[in-house]
Amino acid sequence: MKIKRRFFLSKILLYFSILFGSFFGIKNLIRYVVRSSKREKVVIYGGRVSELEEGFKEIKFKDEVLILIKRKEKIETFSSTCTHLGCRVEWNPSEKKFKCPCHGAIFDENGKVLSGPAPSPLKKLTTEIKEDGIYIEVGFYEEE
Amino acid sequence: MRKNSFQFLNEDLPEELKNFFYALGGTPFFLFFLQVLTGIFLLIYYVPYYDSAYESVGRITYTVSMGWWIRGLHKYGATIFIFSIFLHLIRTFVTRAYSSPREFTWITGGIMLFLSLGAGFTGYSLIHDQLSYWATRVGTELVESAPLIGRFLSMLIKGGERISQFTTLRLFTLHIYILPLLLAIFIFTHILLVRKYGVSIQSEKKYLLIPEHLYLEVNIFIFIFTALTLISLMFPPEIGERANPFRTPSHIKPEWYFYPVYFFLKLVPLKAGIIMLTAFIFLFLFYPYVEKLAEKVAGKYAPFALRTAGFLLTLYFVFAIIKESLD
Repeated sequence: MKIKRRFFLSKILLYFSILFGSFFGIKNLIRYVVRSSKREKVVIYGGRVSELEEGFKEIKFKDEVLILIKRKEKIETFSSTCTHLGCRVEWNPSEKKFKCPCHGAIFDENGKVLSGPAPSPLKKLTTEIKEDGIYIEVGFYEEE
Repeated sequence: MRKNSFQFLNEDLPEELKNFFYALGGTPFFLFFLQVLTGIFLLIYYVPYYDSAYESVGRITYTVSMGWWIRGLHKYGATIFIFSIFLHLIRTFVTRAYSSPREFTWITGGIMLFLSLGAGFTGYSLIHDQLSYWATRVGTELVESAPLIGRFLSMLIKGGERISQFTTLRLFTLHIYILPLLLAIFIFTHILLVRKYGVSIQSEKKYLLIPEHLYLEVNIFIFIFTALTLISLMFPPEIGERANPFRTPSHIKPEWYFYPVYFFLKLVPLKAGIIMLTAFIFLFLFYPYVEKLAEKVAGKYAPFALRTAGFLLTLYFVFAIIKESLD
């Protein structure tokens, strides 16, 4: 069967347009549906060291709870988000353990997994002390 | 001409279908329409906004006249809907009704089961109480942990890094539009396939689809509807504590139909668990072909071994549901 040049060119043009259009359309549709926003590094003030007695303190930030633990002069901050499936772990000061109520993961005072299904230790946040003030690097958050 | 257009309703069915266990397909069919209808009534008062959803569900439950009844029918209807699909599936598996030429009927049924579970999950995510919030959180984290596409899917559902207004609207869109539409398409396809390939039993004694079988199905539906109303009356639907992202309540659990997955995820490492669950979904969906392939590769006892595995898995499901209900 003989194919005419004009027919051939129009077909090529059509297929190319469909290919390009679908690629462009799908790509932009994904950009529309999956939101991407600017994220910035956030450092928060966590109170004064002198006010924090030997023990622990919880700080709420966005939908996160940070657990500050003071040991001698050192302050460590842990994210209370369980590394298994995102439930909120709770610090048990008498047992010195973090416990997750969802699937039973248990972490020690350094955030390391003791038992349960959690795949990794609790996230430890960089904490700095400047002139008695506690400053915690909470990570990257979307600009409001 | 007029007679011909309704010819498709004129079908003989084997008499075994008078048995309730063989007539289970009709129950989820009718319950789907009940869910749609009660869903429309709930929409009159529900507000799909992160800060107002909880109050609006509370208003439906406690203030609106007969709101408890509509919500009870929707809530308990969802449970019976999923339960009847499970029963239908077990009957199909036990009687090997998925065998050739009904493989596609099984696949469409399997897809409908997962769509229904999705509808259940997105449904209780809209309440915005503690169970609802933490179930959404655990569910989206589970999706995020999946290899390759997990993060993309999680961002797609949540509409950002955190659970927010975007999440509520996306879950609402899924629950109200996308999942019911997909379910309706698959129900239609499933019925077409059942009509094309027939049911697995081929007995001599027949009776009519309409009016005899329809009469039986309607009777079952009226019984279930009455039972749902009675259950709603005896155990009116409640609303839990308002969602609090700062505290996971102890003993937080999903709905009963997710207990097997919930229990399984306690036992195995997360990544392995997700890979095993994904493999299970594919094996389950394509089971008729898996059985044939196994017979070809491993011999005539392979299907028996697979069916035994399926039986043990069903026992595990029952065990997990009972264990987590009692804990």
